[in-house]
Amino acid sequence: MGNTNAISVTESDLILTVRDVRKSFGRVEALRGADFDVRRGEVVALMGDNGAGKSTLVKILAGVQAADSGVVTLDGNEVVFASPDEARAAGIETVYQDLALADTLDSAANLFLGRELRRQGFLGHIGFLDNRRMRREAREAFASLQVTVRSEHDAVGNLSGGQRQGIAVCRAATWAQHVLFLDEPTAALGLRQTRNVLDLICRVRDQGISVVLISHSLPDVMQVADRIEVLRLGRRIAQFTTVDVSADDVVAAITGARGSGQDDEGQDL
Amino acid sequence: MHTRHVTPAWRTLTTLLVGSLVLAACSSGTTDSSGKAVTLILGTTSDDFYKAIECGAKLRSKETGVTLTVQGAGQWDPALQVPIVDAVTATKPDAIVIAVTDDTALFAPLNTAVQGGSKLVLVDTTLKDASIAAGHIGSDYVLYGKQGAEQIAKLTGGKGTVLGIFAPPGVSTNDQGRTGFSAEMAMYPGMTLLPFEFSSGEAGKSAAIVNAALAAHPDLAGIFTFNGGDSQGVVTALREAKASDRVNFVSGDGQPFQVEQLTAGLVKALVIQQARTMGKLSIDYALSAIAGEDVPDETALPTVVGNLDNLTTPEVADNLYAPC
Amino acid sequence: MNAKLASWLTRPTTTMLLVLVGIIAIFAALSPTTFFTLANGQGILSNVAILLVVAVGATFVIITAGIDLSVGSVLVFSSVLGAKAMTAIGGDSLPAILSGLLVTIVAGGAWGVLNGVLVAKAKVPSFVVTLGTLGAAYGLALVISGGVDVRSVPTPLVEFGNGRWLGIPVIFSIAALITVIAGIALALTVFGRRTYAIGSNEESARRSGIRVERHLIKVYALAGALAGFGGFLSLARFGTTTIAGNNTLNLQVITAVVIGGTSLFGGIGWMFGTTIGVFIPVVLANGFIIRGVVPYWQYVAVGTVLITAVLLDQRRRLRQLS
Repeated sequence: MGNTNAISVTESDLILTVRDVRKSFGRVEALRGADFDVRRGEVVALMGDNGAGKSTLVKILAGVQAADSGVVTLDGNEVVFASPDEARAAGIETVYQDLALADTLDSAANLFLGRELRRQGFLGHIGFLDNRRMRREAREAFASLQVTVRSEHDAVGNLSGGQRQGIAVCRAATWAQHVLFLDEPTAALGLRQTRNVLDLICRVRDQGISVVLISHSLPDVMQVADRIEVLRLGRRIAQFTTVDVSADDVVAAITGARGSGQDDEGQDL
Repeated sequence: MHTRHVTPAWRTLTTLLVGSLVLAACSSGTTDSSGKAVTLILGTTSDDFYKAIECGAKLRSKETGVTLTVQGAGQWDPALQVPIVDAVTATKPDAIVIAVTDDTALFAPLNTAVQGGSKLVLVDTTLKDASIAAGHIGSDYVLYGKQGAEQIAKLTGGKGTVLGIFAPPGVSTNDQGRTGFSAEMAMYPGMTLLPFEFSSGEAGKSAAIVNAALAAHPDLAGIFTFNGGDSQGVVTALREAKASDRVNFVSGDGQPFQVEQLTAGLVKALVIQQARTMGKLSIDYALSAIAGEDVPDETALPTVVGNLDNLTTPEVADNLYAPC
Repeated sequence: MNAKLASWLTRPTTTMLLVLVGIIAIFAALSPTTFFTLANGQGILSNVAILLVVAVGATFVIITAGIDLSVGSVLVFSSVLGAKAMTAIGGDSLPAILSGLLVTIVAGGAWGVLNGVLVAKAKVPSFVVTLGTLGAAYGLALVISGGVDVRSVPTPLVEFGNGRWLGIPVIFSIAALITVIAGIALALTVFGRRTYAIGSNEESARRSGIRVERHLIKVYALAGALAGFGGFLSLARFGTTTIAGNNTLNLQVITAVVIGGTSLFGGIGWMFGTTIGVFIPVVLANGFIIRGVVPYWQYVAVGTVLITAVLLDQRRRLRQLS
């Protein structure tokens, strides 16, 4: 687990960019020309106080809502997501706080939820599942990300919070091609489980998928994120490289206290 | 592995389950090997009419040393009665006495019972193909309807509009009742018989029917219901419309609440089936059939008219429906 | 495979299987010559058949955390329409019988689709929707039939409905075949897997890309079609429609499914469990009658078994949440 020192920013480094996105709900302006950058192979934290617009931004990028205006670019191409299916098809996966697991199904079934593998030939044609292959591939996927599943056949509802989080993240990582959004993954976890999840996030990044970590927990962010982007009142007001910044500076940016760092235009705050 | 916690609730339930099975074990009753075993299957277990039949059968069974078992479903439903017949068949009774809930659906299972050696007596309702039965005991349903019409004609002085409420076509008893009722009505040119309305002893339905009839025919002079259960609905509807005096209500069957209504003047006359006699005769016929003797194919017991004048006479009082 | 075996042993269904075996053993010991006979067994199988077919459909619905109260009325409606169709084509011919088969299944399926659309698209709770279609289907059945049972069912069909193959009642064999096919579909196909997923967590299923609305409509349509087929079997068995009956079929079916270990909260259930669940009340009623127990105790016994099954399900759920 470590923080890469990415200093130079070239366009080809960016896998996902958001420029000048605006979104209003009636008279409430949730996003007022927000920007956001995600580089290839990094963990970037999206931080901001309540009402800063984090969840709205994530919803737009996950295809749940449409922006009023602005440009989103994924892997060099401009994209607009009309539905979550489109976002997923484009290679963006999201793990929300509720994990979206089917509690009565086992871990392999959850991994392949909605993407079930079918048997070869005629049987598969009429819909027969290939449980053996799914179990095997699930085992491999969990192993590659070092997620331990206590019992393969157990319903995931019976597993601990940490294991469930691991399965949810592993599922998203398995299907994501470019970016994985994690919404408050450690919020409900204890110390040891939090550490496991943070390790898992690093491994996901090491496999080549960028991770956007939405989190209120500064310690977690300082530990695992390569960069931090801060939203405030619907706009990006700061970008930090984690190794170069102190916790206080980040807090200040979030709360809007004294000028800290620079905003996108390079102006001091 | 999961540890099993035997909670108090769990224990109570197990006790209940085991208890009911023990009940099943114990309640087979003593079998008198000298007496014959007869099973009586009622139309429903919740109707006073069938309770009266059961009473007559019980009394007669005691006199003749018959071991009587009574079964029935809580509702008038062939789908519920067939499994009961199947199970009773398995007990191989000497005879089955049954009020069938459908003249066609019950044929096959009863036939199986007869093939297995049990004698069959039909009471109240009958099968379309009754050849497998030793005999059928019912009321003279044509007379039933006729008497109802007679009473209405008497009460209305032979004039006015009349409504008859029967079970939907297909129930043999009611079909014959309608025939008798219509035929008698035709004798009174001053009376207009409305198209028949259908209800199978459902108070809510009969109440709605009467509401509509009163609205459409303000000159409604008389109402007759064939099935006792409908009586409640008619009385209610008449009372709500303040028409209890104006409209002469004659009600078939003699259930306890109907007797109350008669006493209160809400019903002017009752046409009563000899239910207890039916029950008594069914046992006699069953014993005859078991002994290989001949039994009349059809026995139609005349119905009895009951009103405030003759309510206490034995002929009427003995036939009022009541369990015993 | 120890973990898998362990999970099987602790399933409520296993307990219910033991209960069923226990009930049969007790009655067989108490009444060997009357209960434990081939004839009585055949009678039980006949009485299980229609209930089983309808319960198969109900299993799918309940696994999606829904409920279908309309099955009895749909069965009655379908049987009326089917009987009318067969009478219209006339005679005892095969085309007449096949038309009855087609009409009953399509009629039932149509009600199922209506249920599914209202539940899935209009987002009305299934309890409310199916309560409505319960009334509507029954009412329409009365309208079409004029309140009169249709009694002219082709004779070959009635012979078929009361016939036996290799000693087993034909209608039961058909019901068993349907149960096996449905059970395989539920356990081993994408359709079955997604049924569980939707019942387990509808939102999660939706986010995984599963077309939840479409799937729910299919599930309710299946339940309706099976209720319709139940109507066809009923015509075959009784030789008549039974408009006045089947009032408690919906509750009998739900009781059977729940006794079998399927959870009313969704996401958990097995067709094997439903099969056991269907047998228990029927065997109990049969055994009690044979023992001469006052009929009312049967309700108490079935109620006890049902409560036991629900409590077992509750314990399993609480274990999950802890």
